[in-house]
Amino acid sequence: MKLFITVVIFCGVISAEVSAATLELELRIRDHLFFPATLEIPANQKVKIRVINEDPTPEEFESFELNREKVIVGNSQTVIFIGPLAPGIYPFFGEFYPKTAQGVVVVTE
Amino acid sequence: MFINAVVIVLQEILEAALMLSLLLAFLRYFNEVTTLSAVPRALLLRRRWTVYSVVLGVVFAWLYSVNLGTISEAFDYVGLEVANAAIHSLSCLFLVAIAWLFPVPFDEESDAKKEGYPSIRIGMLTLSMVIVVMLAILREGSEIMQFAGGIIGQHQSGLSVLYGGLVGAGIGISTGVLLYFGLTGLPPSWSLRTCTLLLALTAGNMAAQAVLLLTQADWLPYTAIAWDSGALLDEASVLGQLSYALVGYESTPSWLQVAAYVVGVLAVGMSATTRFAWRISKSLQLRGV
Amino acid sequence: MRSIRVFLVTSIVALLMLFNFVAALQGYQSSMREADTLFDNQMLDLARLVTNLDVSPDTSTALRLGSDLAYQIWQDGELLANSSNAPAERLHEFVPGFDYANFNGYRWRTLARYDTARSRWVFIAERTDLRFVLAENVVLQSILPLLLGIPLVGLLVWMFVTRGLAPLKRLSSELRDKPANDFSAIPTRESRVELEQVLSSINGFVSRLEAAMEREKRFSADAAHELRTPISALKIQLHNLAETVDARSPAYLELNDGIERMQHLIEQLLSLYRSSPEQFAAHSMPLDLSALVQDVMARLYPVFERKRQAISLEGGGGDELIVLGDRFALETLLSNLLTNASRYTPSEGQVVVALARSTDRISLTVEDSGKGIAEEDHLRIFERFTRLANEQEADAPGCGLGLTIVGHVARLHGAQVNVTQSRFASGARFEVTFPIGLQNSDQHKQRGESQ
Repeated sequence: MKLFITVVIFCGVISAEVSAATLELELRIRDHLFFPATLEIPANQKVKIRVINEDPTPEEFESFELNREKVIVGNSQTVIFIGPLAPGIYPFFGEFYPKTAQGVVVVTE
Repeated sequence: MFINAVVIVLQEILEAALMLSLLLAFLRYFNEVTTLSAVPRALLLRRRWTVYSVVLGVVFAWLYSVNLGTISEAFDYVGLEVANAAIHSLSCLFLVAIAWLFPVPFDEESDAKKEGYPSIRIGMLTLSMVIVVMLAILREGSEIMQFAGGIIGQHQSGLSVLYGGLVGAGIGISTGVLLYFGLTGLPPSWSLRTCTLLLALTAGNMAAQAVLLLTQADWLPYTAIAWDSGALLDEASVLGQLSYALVGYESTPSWLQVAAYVVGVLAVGMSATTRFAWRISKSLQLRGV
Repeated sequence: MRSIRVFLVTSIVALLMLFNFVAALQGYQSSMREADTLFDNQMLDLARLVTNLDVSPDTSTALRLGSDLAYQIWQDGELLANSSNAPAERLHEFVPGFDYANFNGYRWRTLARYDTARSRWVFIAERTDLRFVLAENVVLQSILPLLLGIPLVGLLVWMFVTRGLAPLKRLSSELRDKPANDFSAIPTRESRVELEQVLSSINGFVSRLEAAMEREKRFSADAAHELRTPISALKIQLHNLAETVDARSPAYLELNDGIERMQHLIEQLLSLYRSSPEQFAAHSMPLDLSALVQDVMARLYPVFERKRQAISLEGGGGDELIVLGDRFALETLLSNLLTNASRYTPSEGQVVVALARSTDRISLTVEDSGKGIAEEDHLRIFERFTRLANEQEADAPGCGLGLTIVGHVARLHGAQVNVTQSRFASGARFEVTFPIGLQNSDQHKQRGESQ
């Protein structure tokens, strides 16, 4: 138990250092497509993505690489926090319409 | 749209079906052991509760699904994560309760065989099982309902979605049935050990999920990725999905998730062994040691 | 209760479904990949065709493409020609190969091809959603049988499993319908490898049981008959003895008591034999319980009179109290209950016999104002030769068979015997309940069990 608490506090300290500022981005869903389909974000920064679903149908933002999964009801908006991330390409997709709803997060130094 | 329906329905059904199979295997073990002993039949666990929990689960899933928009907007648009994290934490808690309440007569000297189980304990155990199954269906069912609700509007792909849903449900339910037969086919003491292990891993999974959701909502701090086993077992593959549903496999977990997983597993393990130790000491007392 | 059939059918259907559906999924995915390459190859062909177009203002009309296809031709960073549904900006980077792009509210599969001869870039785009639907419709046709076949396969599995288990079912119904006194071997003509041991073991048991039953029957009947004669002789001798010896001397009275007790024991043993299932089956008929009770009461009246006990009958007047059974066995049951009541009730005590009928049963109760029976003895008293501790000093010539016979006769009639507290301050209450209607089948079953 002690070990666990130590780990939690330790992690907390690390995270406090990294996520100094939060960047906010906007991602729209229209006709089961993501706009923009490519999100460019800097490395090691926490990002707040405001997802706006303009379709009447619900969509689920999902990414195995980002470990994110969230349902967005039709004609509504929501917020998803990602990062801080290492440089690389992180694909995401709309689980309900994966043939069209495709996008990537590109993390650069 | 066929494959989407398969993936979504399979993911959700698989988790709920595996949970149900696991608990039913526990139930079978319990009843098999107790019918051999002098415990009154009234204290046997009934299987009827599964019906109630499934019905309740579907009703709550529907309510949840209908109110998803409102829930989503709460807490500055992270209400969904918070609500889901609460559901996962509750599941974890009741899984620990099941491990604690489950009475296990390993040997002839067990006090349970002599005295019978207190009926209040059986009642609490049944209630915990009902809640766990109900929460699993609530969690998974609401997502299927969202998906289906969106599809019904566009009738062009209705049939392929229906087929996909059937295939997904078929695979999920078959896997659950086979897991149940696998677990109950083991020799009793192994069956119990395997069930307890799976229960512990499921509790760990629930705790890790809750932590992940709260991290996604920015309620918990970000922690570094512990490891990346994506090359070893892809999370998106069929086997990856199965391991995710069964033991909460994640290819890139954060340290905090790992910690929560360990805590969940230990909580179940400890309540199972404490109960076991308590039972041992009681049976020693009975023998006059 | 676990069922072999349910287990077999669910596990087989689950396995079949799992493998079938996973196979269907695999088939779907590989077919879709194939379809994708096919569509991509078509796009390559189209790109070659477009490259060789003579670009003129009416190119777009000369090359009529469906709305699911679009093209652009670029040269030196200038857009030379395009289809009407193509966007104004370039729809692909100047890198050859396939990619995806979003425009016009759709997602497109895009292809870039550079023609060195003409130094031109040709971009082709095809709507992903449409080509996906097209491909899926074809692929689904091929996997649909796998999906729709499952209910049929499930039904067939059910039928085959049922058929496979049929010999077992026949064996169990044969065992169920076997009359209790039928000790013939079960025919093995339909035997299966798996059932052979079961059948031969059962037949072995049955023949050994028959021999044992025969021995027991002969022994108890013979013993009782053989013992009757010397007892009668003893009684005559005792009678003769009374002429020479004082009949009131303690030695004489004890001898008399001893002989009485022995005679009683032999009578009880005989009735235990007579209430065996074979005897019962031969003598079963509808009986008026009310008349039977009155008969037995009248016959036993002297017993009660001797101890100045009051005996009364309640109910049984107007009601139809017809019970299917053996007259002699039921008389034995009643007289055993009544003698017991008299025996364990002190002088001037009370005994009440009551008959009642409800919708589905007839009940016969005998209550006394004796000592009663402790709760822990309620089951024990029906065992053979059980005499309770407080009975030992009782003056009764009991042998511990009376209630065994009561229980035995009740079981034969499908009736139940319950022991409770009587309505008096102390004492026992024996209630025998006979079911109505079900009686026949119950007797049948009970007879099977008692064997």
